[in-house]
Order: sequence, then structure tokens, then C-alpha cells
Amino acid sequence: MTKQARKTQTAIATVLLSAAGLVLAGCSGLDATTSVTTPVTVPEMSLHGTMHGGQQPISNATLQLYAAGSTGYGSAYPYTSGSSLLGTHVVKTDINGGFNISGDYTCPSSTTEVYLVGTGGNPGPSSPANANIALMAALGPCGNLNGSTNVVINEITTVASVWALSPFMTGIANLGTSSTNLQGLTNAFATVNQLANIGTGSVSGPALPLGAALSAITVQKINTLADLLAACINSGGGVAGDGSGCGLLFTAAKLNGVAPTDTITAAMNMAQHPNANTSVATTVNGSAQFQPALTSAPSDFSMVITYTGGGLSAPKGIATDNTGNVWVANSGGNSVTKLDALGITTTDATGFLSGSGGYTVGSLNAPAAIAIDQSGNAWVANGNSTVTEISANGSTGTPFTGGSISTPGGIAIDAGNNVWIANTGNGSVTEITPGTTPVYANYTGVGIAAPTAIAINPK
Amino acid sequence: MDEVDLTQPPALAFASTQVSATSSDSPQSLIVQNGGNAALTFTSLATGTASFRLSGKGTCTNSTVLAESGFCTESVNFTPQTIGALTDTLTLTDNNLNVAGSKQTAALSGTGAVGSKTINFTPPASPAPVGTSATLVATASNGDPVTFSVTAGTGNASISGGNVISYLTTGTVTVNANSAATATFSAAPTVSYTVTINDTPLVFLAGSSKVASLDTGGVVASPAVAGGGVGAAVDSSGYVWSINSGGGGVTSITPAGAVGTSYTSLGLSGATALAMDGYSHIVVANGNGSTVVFTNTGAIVSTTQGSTSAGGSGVAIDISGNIWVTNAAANSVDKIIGGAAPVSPLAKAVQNATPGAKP
Repeated sequence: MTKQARKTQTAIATVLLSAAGLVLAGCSGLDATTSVTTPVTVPEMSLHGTMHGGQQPISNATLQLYAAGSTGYGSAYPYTSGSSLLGTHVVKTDINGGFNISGDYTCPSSTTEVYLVGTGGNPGPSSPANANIALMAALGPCGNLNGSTNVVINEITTVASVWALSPFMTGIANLGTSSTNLQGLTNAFATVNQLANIGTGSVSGPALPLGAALSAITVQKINTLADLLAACINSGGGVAGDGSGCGLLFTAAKLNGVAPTDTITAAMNMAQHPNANTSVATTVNGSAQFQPALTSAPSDFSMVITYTGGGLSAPKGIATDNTGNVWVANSGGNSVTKLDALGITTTDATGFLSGSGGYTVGSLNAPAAIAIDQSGNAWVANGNSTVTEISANGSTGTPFTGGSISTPGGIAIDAGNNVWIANTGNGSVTEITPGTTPVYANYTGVGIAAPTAIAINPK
Repeated sequence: MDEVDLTQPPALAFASTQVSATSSDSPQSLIVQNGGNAALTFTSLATGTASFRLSGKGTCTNSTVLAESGFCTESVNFTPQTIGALTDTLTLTDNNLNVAGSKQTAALSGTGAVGSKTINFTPPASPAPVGTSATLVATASNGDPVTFSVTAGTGNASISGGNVISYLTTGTVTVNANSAATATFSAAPTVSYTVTINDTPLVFLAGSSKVASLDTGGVVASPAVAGGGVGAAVDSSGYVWSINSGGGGVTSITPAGAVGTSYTSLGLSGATALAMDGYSHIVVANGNGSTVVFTNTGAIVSTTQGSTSAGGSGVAIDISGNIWVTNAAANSVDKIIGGAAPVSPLAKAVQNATPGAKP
């Protein structure tokens, strides 16, 4: 097996319908057999797709398939050879922007998060090469890739990938998490598919549950950022300050005075500092390719996904747990809604359905505040001066009524798993030591008439 | 012919005075008049010791020229530098009788008594958390060194480096400032303050425009201080952040419970809730549906308009760096992507003592 053979297969595997901006790839299990000298217990990866800039194919771009590191934020994966999972093989896009990766490349593990990056290349059939081009698509767990995996790498997938993953990035090849936050990275990869559809390269992804949507301005922000990237990519390149498409982008994306020289790094700087230089949005005009775009500079370039339904009713208190779930106290609904990291309500087995319940166990009553303990149980402060403990899976709810709880406004858990409650109603603090026989204590004389919030300070 | 006319007795006697103090009868003066018919030119006017000094209030100087019949005054202060009977001489050098370098003298006398001094001791902050230390500040009225000591009460503390007190065990201690007797000063009266050493502030409570703290036993560790009052979140340095009443600003509270810094120009408006991300950036939900992220030194990172212009009612950060905001009026929840850092869930951050840090 040689890289030349791989390229040839790639070139014939992809059909491009550029007029509609839609890619159909006819690849089916090409190059499925390969000889390996050592046994592998991880799946072989296989995928194909196209790389576009401003909806035009980018040819002769160099592809790399990176794995996320796990030795720190921004850590690179320790490749055994080469600079990505492709090792020393060179994979380039064909004249139609198409590519095919299959065969003897293997995943580090089936759960390793991977992403595809294309750099350089010619942004049109007769365009000169542009070294500033860098586009990416987050692919998710390596084991999910197979011969039918089709990927579009374009400005939209780049913006979606960079924004969701920016807390974990310091550069194109430096995308990683700490050894203790693999789940956070997994969730972030999943979020990419909410902002964009990696299979089609369009805004708004398949991971958005029912009842969830990108806000209108978020769609405009993604399009505008994609247009800004496209203005650089569909050009001969440039540097900050030269007034070119690349120059405008790189100037706006300076970090600590240093201008980036590729479009992924530019996007990363903007995602990490969303307030900076938002006026660059006004350089995008109505004829830009990705529409609708912003018509004026936004306050910032952060993205918003909005969730409704799932029993959300006058939601107030909110808390996150170790898995990235979000627990919400529905002050209007005598219930608690638990969303997973993608906003899918886990209180309803069928998904995030409008009007469906939320936890109603354990005498929940107009809950205002919520905290999660070390075991993942939720502690809820009720409007009727009680506290409810909901088990992590929502199966049971236990009411707590002692300790002179009075219209609790805040709730917090200390290192010993004791529960502390700020009693807005009587100016006191209640401590609950949970157990077979809960122990209550009530503390007065704090000097605050109506405490509404409480926090444990471990420092 | 020139002549010096001493119209007053050429001797000054001062009242007995404490060392370093100036006598109650200072200054005393002499008059010098030129009785001759040529100019009288001074070349020096001086005392011999530091206890007797020209007061500066006389009109004679070391270069005065007196015309015929002209006069000036010499004025002397008595500020004893040592104890006991003190004498000195005021010497005027001039051209009396046309002899350059002629000297006229006046005897000076007084008694130096033992001085007294007092201590100005800034009261150390009380209550103070156990395990912390503080720098003591005190000065003696005469500039003498001040030493500190601790009298253990129900609690204990120690002094190191001369002026740093370390609070060792909970309870009360008495902190004393002393300035010892010297050859010229008697010892200063000891000044003492009682400090209550509390258990470390653990549970911070916000409300009614105040923030207070309790220790692990529920005892008040730091009394309610004015500032904040809406929401409470802890940064990586143990500072507690709380929104000011009205929601237009935010105040930090030190780990010991004192008011830190207040910021009122960060774009906060009717703010209702706050949380801490993994960079220890403060994330605030505004009353107009926007969310502001700013550093703990008051630099804005982002300002994002959510899906509704109704106020956010709660805010939290997840392990992927997303900001979640509850919108009570819209029955919805917003997930904001970009600008924040992953943060450990609160229970884990408390357990690992890593608030405001990435997991």
C-alpha cells in the first residue's frame, strides 16, 4: 500500500456538485484490506470528504488527521511517527477538493477524539496556492469513523469546531485536555455538531435536540465568521495590515500584538477573546457567500444555543455536575430538569420534548436553588421551606424539613458533603449532615437579614 | 570708636525640661545694639551644644551688619538632649572695637529631665482567621523602636521578624506594643489590643447588600461587611465575588472576609447571578438578558446577548467551558459557547480546594 495509490483512489471516489454547495461522495469501502505486522485492537479509521473554501473546492491542500491530547489543556497527542495519525503519509486534496483516508491508519483507541485539518492548497482551479489556508472539522470519537463517513471541511465546520473546542486549543496541532477532564473534551466535540453539520458543511447541526435552536444572531455570527475566513482563503494570501482579506482577518485576530498567519489560529484567537475587534464584521458585505450575515458589529463573537421544553418553567437555580449535565430548578413547575451536555433532557427517555416533565420526586415545591454533591445527587431548596435530595438518576427524592429552614435562597455542599442553606426568610443558616438520621443545625447572628446566596470557600 | 552695649544681663536660665522636649520658657532673647559710630559686622552667631539652639526667631544672624545705634535680637531655645544640669555659651563673633574676631558671650543654663513617650499602635484586624498572619504597625512618639509581644488567652499567636503576628489557635489573644526605657526616656506605657482568632471562614453568605462568613462549626468567622449581596462565587485565590445590590457592580471579599475591590464599570446592569469559570473569570447574568465575562482584575472578556431580553436568573459553567444561563421569564435555558474556560463542578472544586480552576 502506498500513498500514491491512496491518492489515486481518492481522486476517483468523490463527485462534487459545487453549484448547490452539496457534496456527494461515492466512496464505499475502498482499500479495505491491508496487512499489518502487529495486531491492533482498535478499529481502522476510514473517511472521505471534500475541502471547500467559499464553496469552491480547494485542491492540493495537505490533510492531517489529529488526535486530541490528554496530558493537559492544549496538549498535543504523542504521535509515534509524523505529526498526525497519518504518520509520514502525505494526503492531499484532488482537483475537486476531494480526499479519502482509509486503510492502514489506526485509531489510538475507539474513544480518542480526532479532528481533520487541511492546510494550504489552491482555492480554485486556476488560483495560486495560498499558504494561509487552514480549515478543520472535528470528527469525534475515532471509532465512529468508517467507510461511509463523509466530511466537509469548510469555513462553517471550522468556525463550529474552533468555537466549541477553543477552551482546549492553543494551536492547530495542540488540542487537548487534562487527564482528569476527558469528559469535558468529549462533550465539547459533541457540541461542534450542534453548531454545524460536519457532513454537509452547513450551519446548525444534527446534535441539536428538539426544542433547541441557535439564536438568530448566532447563525449570523457563524456565517459572518465563515465569510471573514473565506475572504482570506479565496485569495492569494496576505499578512496583517496589508488590507487583503487575510490581512483584515489577521489584524482583527491579533493576540497580545501577534498576528496569526493561518485561518484556524485566527478563529481560535477570536473564539477565546470574543470581545476583541468585533468591528471586523462590518467588512463582510451582502454579497458574501455565507448568509444571512451580521449587518453590524456584534457585542462579541460568542455563540448561543437556546433550549426550551423539558419541563423548564421559570427556571432559576442552575448547577453542573462531573459529567457535564446541567440541573435546573423550575421555580414555576415544582420540578427539576436535568439536561445532558447537549441539552437533551434525561428526565424524558424520548428526548427533549416540549412540555415533558422534569423530576417531580420528593415534594419539590417552587424550587429556587440547586447544588450537586460529590456523588452527583442534586440538593434542591424549595419555596415551601424544605430541601429535597434527588438521586443522581432521579429515581428517588428525599425531603428534609428540620433545621429551621425558611424560604431558602441558596444552597451549597462542603468538602464533607454537608449541605449549607441560606435562609432568606429568617436570616439564618441551616447545616444538614445527611445520613440515616440526618443531623440539623441552625446558625443565627450572621448579621445579614435576608441571605440569598451561599458559597463554600475551600481556600 | 566702636562699642558693644549689652543692655540685658548676658546670661539665660531655662526651666527644667524633659529630654527632647522644648522648655516652656523657650525662646529667651538678648538684644545686641551698636553703641559705636561705625558699622558693627557679625561673622558668627552660635551655641555650643544641641541642647541650646538658636530659635530662628531672633533678628540677628551670622552676617548681620548693625549701623550706628542699630540693634537686633538673639533668640535661644532649650531642648535638652541629655539629663542633668546643662550649660552652654552663646557666642557672637564680630568686629567690636575694630578688632576682627572679637567675641561677645552670654551664659546659657538649664536642666534636662527624664523624658516620657507614648506609642501609637494601629489596632490589628479582629477577628482574624486562624492560620493567617498580619503585620503589626506601631510607632513611639520619639521615634524609639517598638517591640511586640503576645499574651496568650483562650487562643495563641506568635511574633516573628519583629512585627509579624501569626495566629496559631482559635480564641482570644492580647497583642502588646512596648517601647523600653533608655538613658533619656522612661518606658512608654504598654498599648494592648485583644484579637479574636476565628476558625477559617468556610461558608460565605450574601444578602441584604452584605457578605459574612461562618467557620466550619457555624460560628461567625467574619462579620457582615457592606458590599455585594447578590450571589456568591469563589475564585482560585479564595476571594468571594458577589454582585452589588441593584446589580450595577460587583465586589470581591478577601478570604478573611474583608472588603476587597468593587467594580462598577463592567457593563453590569440589573445583574442577578454569577459564577466562576476555570480561568477564575467572573461570569455574570444581567437583567437585560446579556452575560458578561470579566477577569478578576476587572477586564471584560465578553458580553453576549442571550436569546431573550428578559433577565437571566441563574448561571453556571460546565466542564467544557460552556456558560449556561436560565431565563425564568422565557422558560428557557441558554448555552453560550466561546470565551469561558472549563471549570470543575462546585462540589469537586470544594473537595479538591480548587475553586475557579480547570478540572
